[in-house]
Amino acid sequence: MERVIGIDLGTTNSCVAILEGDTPVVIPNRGGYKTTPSVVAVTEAGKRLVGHIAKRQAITNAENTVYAAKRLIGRKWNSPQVKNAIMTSSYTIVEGPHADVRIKLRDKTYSVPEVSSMVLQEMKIVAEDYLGEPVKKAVVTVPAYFNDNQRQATKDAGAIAGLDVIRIINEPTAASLAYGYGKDMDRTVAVYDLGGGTFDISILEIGAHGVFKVISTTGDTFLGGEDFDARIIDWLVTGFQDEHGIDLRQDRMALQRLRDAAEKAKCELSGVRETEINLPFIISTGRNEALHLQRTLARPTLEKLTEDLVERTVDICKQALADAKLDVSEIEDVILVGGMTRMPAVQTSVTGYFGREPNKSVHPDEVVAMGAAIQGAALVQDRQDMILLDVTPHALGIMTFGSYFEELIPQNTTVPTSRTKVFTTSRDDQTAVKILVMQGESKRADENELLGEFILTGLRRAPKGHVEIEVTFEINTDGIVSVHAKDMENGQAQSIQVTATSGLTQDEIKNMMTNAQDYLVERRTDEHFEGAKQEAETLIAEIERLFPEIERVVGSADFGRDAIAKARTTVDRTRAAIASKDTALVKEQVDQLSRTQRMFKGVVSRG
Amino acid sequence: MSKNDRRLPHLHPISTPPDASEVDATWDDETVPGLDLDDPLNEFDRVTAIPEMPELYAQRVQQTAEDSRVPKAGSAPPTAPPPAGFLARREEYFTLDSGPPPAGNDADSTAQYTAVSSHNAPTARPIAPAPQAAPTRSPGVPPHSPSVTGLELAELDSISQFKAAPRVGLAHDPRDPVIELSFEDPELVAPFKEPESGALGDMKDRYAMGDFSGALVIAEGILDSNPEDLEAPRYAQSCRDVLTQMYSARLGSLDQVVSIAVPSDEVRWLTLDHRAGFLLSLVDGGSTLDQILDISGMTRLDALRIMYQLLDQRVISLGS
Repeated sequence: MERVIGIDLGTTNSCVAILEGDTPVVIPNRGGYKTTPSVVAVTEAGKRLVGHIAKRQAITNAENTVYAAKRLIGRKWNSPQVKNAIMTSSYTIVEGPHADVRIKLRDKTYSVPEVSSMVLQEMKIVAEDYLGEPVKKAVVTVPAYFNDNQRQATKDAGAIAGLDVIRIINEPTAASLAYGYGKDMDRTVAVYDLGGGTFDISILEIGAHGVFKVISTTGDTFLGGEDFDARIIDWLVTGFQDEHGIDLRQDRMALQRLRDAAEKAKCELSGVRETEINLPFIISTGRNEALHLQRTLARPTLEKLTEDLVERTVDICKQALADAKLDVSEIEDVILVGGMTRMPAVQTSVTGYFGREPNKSVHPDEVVAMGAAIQGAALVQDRQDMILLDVTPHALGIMTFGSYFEELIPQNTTVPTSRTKVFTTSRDDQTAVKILVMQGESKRADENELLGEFILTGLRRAPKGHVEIEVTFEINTDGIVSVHAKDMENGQAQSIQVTATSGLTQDEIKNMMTNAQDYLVERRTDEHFEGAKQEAETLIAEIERLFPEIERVVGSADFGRDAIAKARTTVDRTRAAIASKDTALVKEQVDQLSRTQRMFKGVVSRG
Repeated sequence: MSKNDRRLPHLHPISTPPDASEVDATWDDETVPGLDLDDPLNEFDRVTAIPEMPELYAQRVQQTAEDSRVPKAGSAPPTAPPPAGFLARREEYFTLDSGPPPAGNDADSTAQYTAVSSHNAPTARPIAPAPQAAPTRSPGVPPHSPSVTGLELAELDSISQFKAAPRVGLAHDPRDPVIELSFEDPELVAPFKEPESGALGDMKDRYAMGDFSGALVIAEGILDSNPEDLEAPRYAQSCRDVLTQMYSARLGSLDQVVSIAVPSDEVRWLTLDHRAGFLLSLVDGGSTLDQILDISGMTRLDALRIMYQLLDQRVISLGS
């Protein structure tokens, strides 16, 4: 049966998992880490870097390193989030041809789904390396608040990466799925997700037969582990400035080292009471000497430095409960998600607010990917009891007089569905009406996402409120929204079909898919060459080590000398093949080298 | 690159620096010229001219030559008086000899240049060096670099356009390379061009001498003061290319994994600057040289140079 991977495409880190037998397994990357930074960079030489390696140069090559692309995915150019990102990002954000967002790296401009596809492609490679077979299908998670365009953009990113994204599911839902996996439960839970860059709190109702209903979700897209790191960096920089009068922030290399050290110290302090930060040669003084930074950070100091950040998460929890119209005592379990929830101060704070110990049965870094993998397996195995119902992530409706939002299809409605409502004209002798199709939960239309608009004309002239217009919203199984408006008296009608868009055309997606495929082929070719080269070099070293011994054993016998000469020729040919980067030839030579090595070993052991 | 390729097409270089690929950037001992004495194109048997004789450099060489021309007992006085101008100077031969000073010759051994009469100097096939005198690596000390590090010495290997022609009976520093100036074929001599003075001339001079680091520093200095300069960028780029090749050759395969070779508690006692300290912080025992260069945030040349220095100081080690 075809394998489906589950991918947690995070703002700062991503994770991939698969269901093996009945057990969800998180797949480590080549470095042995179970999470991969969602960071993409292009080096001066034009080489693409993804993951840890990209993160390690994020400050020294800040202009060409994209992080937190998720904050931009599926957004329109004129959205406030994009304006904010332009102000705060070190990389260049430009307007795309379809009022979408593009990112400039070196001399090339990339769409946001394209950048995200690089991370997804990396996760696909991690899974393929682990499974030893190609992976085509995936379930990808997104925040519960993502609208249709953001979800579609994530799907497009998957397609560009060569993945068929068979389902997009909400992150808190995935976490709950992993938490409730194998259990029959019916309860209300809070999913407290404090990741590297964002904080989300979701209240869910887990019902029997795979009903996971998100009652409310809220958060802060600019609150996460990086803010905690920043406090440690501030503390280190201030201390160093007091001691030496030098501002380490002015040096990118120093800042890169500070950031890496701060993150490491923060993680260590979840397990120990204090840790030493040691950064030799952090900066040169200009007097032909380099200074070292050495400080000890204790857990209470870190907790003092980040107290307000933890408090902010609690305030947001209060808001989520208010939105869900629930009392804190009605929450039956708290699931912790995200690496930051390992911090003891965070756990204490959550315990204090919810009045109960958070559930620690699931791994906070892995739980979302595991939930996605469970869902992926359920979809291909057609296990109806575990398949999540496809619901509308946000309410759908139209804008009415006074810029109010009138909801037709509520949030979390299972699809397919259809709803109809009757509206009247708002002015005397009004002959046309503009229907603005919107998505969101706000009562104010301008706070919701505009999906499309159309005008219904030919209305009969009448005083305001006398002409009735029937508006019908319909969502089919593919998630396509159709809106139909009809003058109930004269039958005059007009309609629109709203398809979620990532801001990319099909042709653009196709081109990006081709480019991504080319990159993958090139990378695989390089990897095969490297593998063959390494094998060849090991054999050459072994053969060369044996040469003196062989020469001693065979003495001056012609037969022996011929063999040695042939071996030397093989070694030379292999080196030439390596130099010409000819993978097939290197592999061919490896066979010959193996035979030579076996023969030499045999001769030596007999001699 | 074949040995023939190292021959200069002109006695006076054109203003554009040669393509970096024309410069032998490898430091492999196998490529050191002069080892194969049967080779008809053996470098020691050939005579080549210095590609350019900028005025300042020429004057300095001339002066040094004159200084060293101290009459010694038993040695023949110079037959030609000091020339008045550059054209006149071109009739002289300036030679450097890597052979040990002959017995009884008490000439100043620090003198690097000696002027000899044109009719005493060979122009086509100079005397072949004694095998034991043939260096395995160019030990030359350029006139501009009185103190040379191993690295600078290695860089000088690329000055393959200079011909080594040992002279017997002259005073020499045994470390000096053999350089002889001559006009092999007057037909090939480019029309005389007024040598450039100042930084530009010095840059070209250093470039011609194989001091690519020095030439690069000067080229960058010129560009700082005059960003519109047309020649400096070309020289700077050429120097970078050559130096990048040199350091790459020295470090070997960029796929090697880099490890720290000193105990962590001793690192702080090393003499490093913050750039080296930064690169050292990227060494985690799992990343390859290529990966470290990629994430260094420095130009590839700078990163290669520092990594080479760290390797040379045995702060790091390379392995598979």
